[in-house]
Amino acid sequence: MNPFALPFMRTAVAASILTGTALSLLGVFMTARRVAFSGLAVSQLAALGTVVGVSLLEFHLGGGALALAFVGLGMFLLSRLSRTRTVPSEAWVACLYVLGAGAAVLILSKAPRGESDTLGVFFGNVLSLTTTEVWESLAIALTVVGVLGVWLRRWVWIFVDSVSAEVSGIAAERWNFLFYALFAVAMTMAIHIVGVLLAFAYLILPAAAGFTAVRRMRDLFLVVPLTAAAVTVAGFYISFRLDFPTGPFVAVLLAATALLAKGYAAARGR
Amino acid sequence: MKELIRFQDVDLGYGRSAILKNVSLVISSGEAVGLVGPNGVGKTTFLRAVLGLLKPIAGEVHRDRAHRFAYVPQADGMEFFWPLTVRGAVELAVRSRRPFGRMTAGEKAAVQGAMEKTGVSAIGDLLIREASGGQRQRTILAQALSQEPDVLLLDEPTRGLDVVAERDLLALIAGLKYQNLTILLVTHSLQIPLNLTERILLFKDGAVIDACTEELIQTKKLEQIYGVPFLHHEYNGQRWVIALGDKP
Repeated sequence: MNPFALPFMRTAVAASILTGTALSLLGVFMTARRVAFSGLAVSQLAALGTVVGVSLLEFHLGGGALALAFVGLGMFLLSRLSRTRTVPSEAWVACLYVLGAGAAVLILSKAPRGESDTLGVFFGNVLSLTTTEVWESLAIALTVVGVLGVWLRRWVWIFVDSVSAEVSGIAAERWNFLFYALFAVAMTMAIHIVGVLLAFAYLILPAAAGFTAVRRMRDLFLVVPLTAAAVTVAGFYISFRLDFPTGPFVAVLLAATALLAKGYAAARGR
Repeated sequence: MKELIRFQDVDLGYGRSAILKNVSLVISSGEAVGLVGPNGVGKTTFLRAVLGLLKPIAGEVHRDRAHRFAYVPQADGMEFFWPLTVRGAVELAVRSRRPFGRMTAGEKAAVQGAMEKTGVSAIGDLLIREASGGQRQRTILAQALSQEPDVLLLDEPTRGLDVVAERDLLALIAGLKYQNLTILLVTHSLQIPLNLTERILLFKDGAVIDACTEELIQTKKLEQIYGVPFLHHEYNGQRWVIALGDKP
């Protein structure tokens, strides 16, 4: 049986591809700035916000806003804490990661369906997605592609060398703020749609594969979202056939793809 | 010469603690000025104030905004994960001006001219992450020149380069002096501005000592500033000063 003949599979794969497209494009910039693990910490805080929000309200009735507020708070804390010179900033990234993950589990332990809710938040339940999530992920994907695509060279310059960009008259701080605001919204929505694990995998792994294997800038921004999309389709198909949970399977396949890209680059002497 | 930058009784630092105190000076168009001092004395802080990236704690910094500024950072402080070619890196600044990275014919010519001037046009297709330190620094310089600036600010441009790459880069910068560019060159080494700039700002103990290069060479001012004897040497138009110590 072709799994994509099933309507719920088509809905889930569409939402996942669109979410993967948005996050993988943002992930190119997060990876290049060496803040991939900040992305993980922020993901966990978004999960905590989602848990708190869903315990109090439905996601679409304000729970999402609470999750976004947690992400904003986490990013603010990271920017403040990373300025301290007594401890490397990675320590504060780890601190926020533990806080987000630990507190979310503690709250879920008191929920009526604690264990299944925990699995849902952290590993997602992509096969239960509806057309609402497809429209949400389409909105995120179009926004990310639009915002990054129109000013792609400017974004790259700011991420390569923000001081030179600022000196030349670009308000780099405002552009950075716009980027992180976009990241916060996209990550919050993505965790609601695909869970923490797959959202983080989409954010970092296609970008890691792209940076490793690609040697032209224009190819990077094609290969990265196409990798996310292709691995998503393959992951959905194989996990259905082998009866594995879909979200974690796609995440593992993304990690394997990044490692294969590294192997390919090493074989070509790069 | 037109006044470009004026510091009036300026204190500079971060938070409330001043690294530089009571700085007053003027930099005019067409000047080449060296900013010299060891790490941590406030050279970069001063440069950030010139660039308008740092507000003074006290006093006023005036910068003529009619002039176009371009900054040349240290190549080893930049992110080179991006699969940018040398040409792609040079074009970034100009392509950042318009949506979809469009360039005018004039901008394309400026990019090509900057690449030829800095000697990187032959390596335009080389990935910058695979380029040598000297090639990277030339690429960044080409990127700054492609913007056709009036003022060029160079932050330790020779840091991390081998002696030959350093020599070639300094010769290139020396050539720029004669093209109506105002040059501010930050360095920890006194040798570089002695041979490149007619004016040197020495950063020492929270103060900025404004000196004419010839005056430093011809008088005992260096000895007075640093409190140690110096050996002055000149060969084939090149100048060196060496701080002398007790024989070990």
